[in-house]
Amino acid sequence: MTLLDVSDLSKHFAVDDGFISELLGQTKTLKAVDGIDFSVDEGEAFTLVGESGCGKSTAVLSALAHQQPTGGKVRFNGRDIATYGKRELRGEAQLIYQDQQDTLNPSMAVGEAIAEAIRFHDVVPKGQVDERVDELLERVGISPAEKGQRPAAFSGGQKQRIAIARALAVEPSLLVADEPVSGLDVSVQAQILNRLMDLQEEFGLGLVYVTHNLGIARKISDTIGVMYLGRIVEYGDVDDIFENPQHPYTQALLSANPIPDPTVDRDRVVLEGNMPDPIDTDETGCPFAPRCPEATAECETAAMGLEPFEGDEKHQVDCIYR
Amino acid sequence: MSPPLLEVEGLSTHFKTATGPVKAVDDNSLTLHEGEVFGIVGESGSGKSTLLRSVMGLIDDPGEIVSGRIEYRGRDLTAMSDAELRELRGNDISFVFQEPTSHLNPAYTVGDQITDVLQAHTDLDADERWERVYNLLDRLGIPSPEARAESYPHEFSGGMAQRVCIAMALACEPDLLLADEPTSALDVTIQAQIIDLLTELQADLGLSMLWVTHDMGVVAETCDSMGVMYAGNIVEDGSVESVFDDPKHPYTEALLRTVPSHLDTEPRFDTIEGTPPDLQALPDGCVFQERCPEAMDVCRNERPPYYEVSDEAGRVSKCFLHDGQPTRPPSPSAPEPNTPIADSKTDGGQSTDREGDR
Repeated sequence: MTLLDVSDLSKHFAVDDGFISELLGQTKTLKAVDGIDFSVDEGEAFTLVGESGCGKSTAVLSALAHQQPTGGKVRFNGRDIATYGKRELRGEAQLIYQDQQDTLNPSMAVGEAIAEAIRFHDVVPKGQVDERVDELLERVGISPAEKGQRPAAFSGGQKQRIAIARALAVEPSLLVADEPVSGLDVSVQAQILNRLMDLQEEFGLGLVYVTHNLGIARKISDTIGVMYLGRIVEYGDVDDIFENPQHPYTQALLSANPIPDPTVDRDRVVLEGNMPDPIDTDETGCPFAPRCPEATAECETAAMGLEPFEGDEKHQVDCIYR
Repeated sequence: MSPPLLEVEGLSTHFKTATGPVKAVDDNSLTLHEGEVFGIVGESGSGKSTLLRSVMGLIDDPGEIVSGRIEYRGRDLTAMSDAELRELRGNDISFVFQEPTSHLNPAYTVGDQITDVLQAHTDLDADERWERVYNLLDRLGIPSPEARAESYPHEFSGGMAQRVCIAMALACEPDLLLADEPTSALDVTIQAQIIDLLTELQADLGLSMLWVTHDMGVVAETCDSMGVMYAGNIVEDGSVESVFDDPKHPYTEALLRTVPSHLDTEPRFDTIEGTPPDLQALPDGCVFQERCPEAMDVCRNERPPYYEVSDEAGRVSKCFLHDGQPTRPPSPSAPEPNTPIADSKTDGGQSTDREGDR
């Protein structure tokens, strides 16, 4: 069953250029997310992948009503997400962030932080809360004996485990994870991600994962959306995207990713320039055209949108030449 | 083989704290030859940046180089005065850091900053200095260099700012470039641009480089040789091909398995269970013993020396699994005393190599 259904989602910001521009009516718009669609089924792991500034974090935060989207529709469990109360929504959809430092209360014992979430959402009867906390900590690989400690006593990796335990404590149906391990070392990352994948499968959780790390995206996802300049430029099953990338940006992104094998000698597509700021971008034309090695004059004016690649509804590409 | 450009022997850099020294770098040796790119790879806290900063002479109180030698063209950097070091920096040795914008002065144009370097280290007159700046910026792929030289650091994107930093580092045509995660703050498509640029410049100018990174992919693509660091120790050293192909230390082996690659289709990540040891309370024996699947009794009691693990010169592993192989001085139990000017005998690996050959 479809858990989260996002259609034509936009998040635009007015750019503050000072009051003179405002008086002259010269306001600019930054289109952080500009009309994206994706859906996540129960038990499915969907990843938004892209470079910094592409809008991937803003996309999930707006989809989950953490920020007010400026356009589009989001249905959660078949219901318009705008009709959910905050408490009701957070009982169903939990978020994990990159920086564990900012999400755990530094003056509260970690066990208490988890217990608070359980009590707030009435997950289990009062008498069972302690037992539940122990169980959750154990599941993420933290000894329940340490639950009286404050966050400062734990390493970055341990804090992220605790954040996962707290998110799972409310028994959500959807978990949103925004670069949850990108501040951590690879050996610690691997432990946490394996644990996250186990728990996701066991509880049949829907997962929306946001990352710039292609190696992680490959393992954690069932489906992937590749974002560039506020849009999803390619969407499909993880293996299709990695083994048969179609959009020139996806191809360049994959080829730019260093491969930990010195014997691989490959032709890299090195893109010129940077991703620009998505300020006052045109309604038509391909946002990637200025950097695209295959761009033609037509790309600058064409109407864009995800289209099935070779008739395959499950692999969609936003490129007029595919 | 030509004598090494840089030779580090038995280097230990500790940080004094109220609760005892933090052994950030603990008895390390490495050799960098002319024209070679040497990667120092490790996870955060492994001491790789401290090792690089020790070579740069940038260790400040409470940090201190407590033992060892760092020889650049036979001159011991640890024994040099600040004035001598200043002379060497820029002219012979220069640096590139991870965060380009935090190593540029926000209040001056980039052209002013690069000409400052040239003024301090060369005899060029003002016109010649600016000419050099434009050439450098152009060489580093910065469009319209004459206009961009008038820009302030905040007017550059991360990738462009890193190009400026590299231009500044190369301004006085150094022989050795020390790079501390020069591409880690950049997006992958921008990282690819900078890697290509550095690789090309290195080959064109015959630069030698020490390249610190946590990214095995970057090492594989850029370096000739590598040292793998764990808990303040280079635990394995050798050519990039041989280390990747046949790792001789259990940590290297484990680390190579855990790196997430987008080509890997296994359902789960390989892991190294546990966490690195506290640098204030390093175990008596091997630093990796607590997480090592192969740990033996001897590993708990003694710090392993560098064993020579193949015919390749300088291919070593700090692991008792190779007990019986010849060892390379300095062994941790008997650090070599400070010897003055290098001759062929102090050329670490190779002298014992011959004795060890059966």
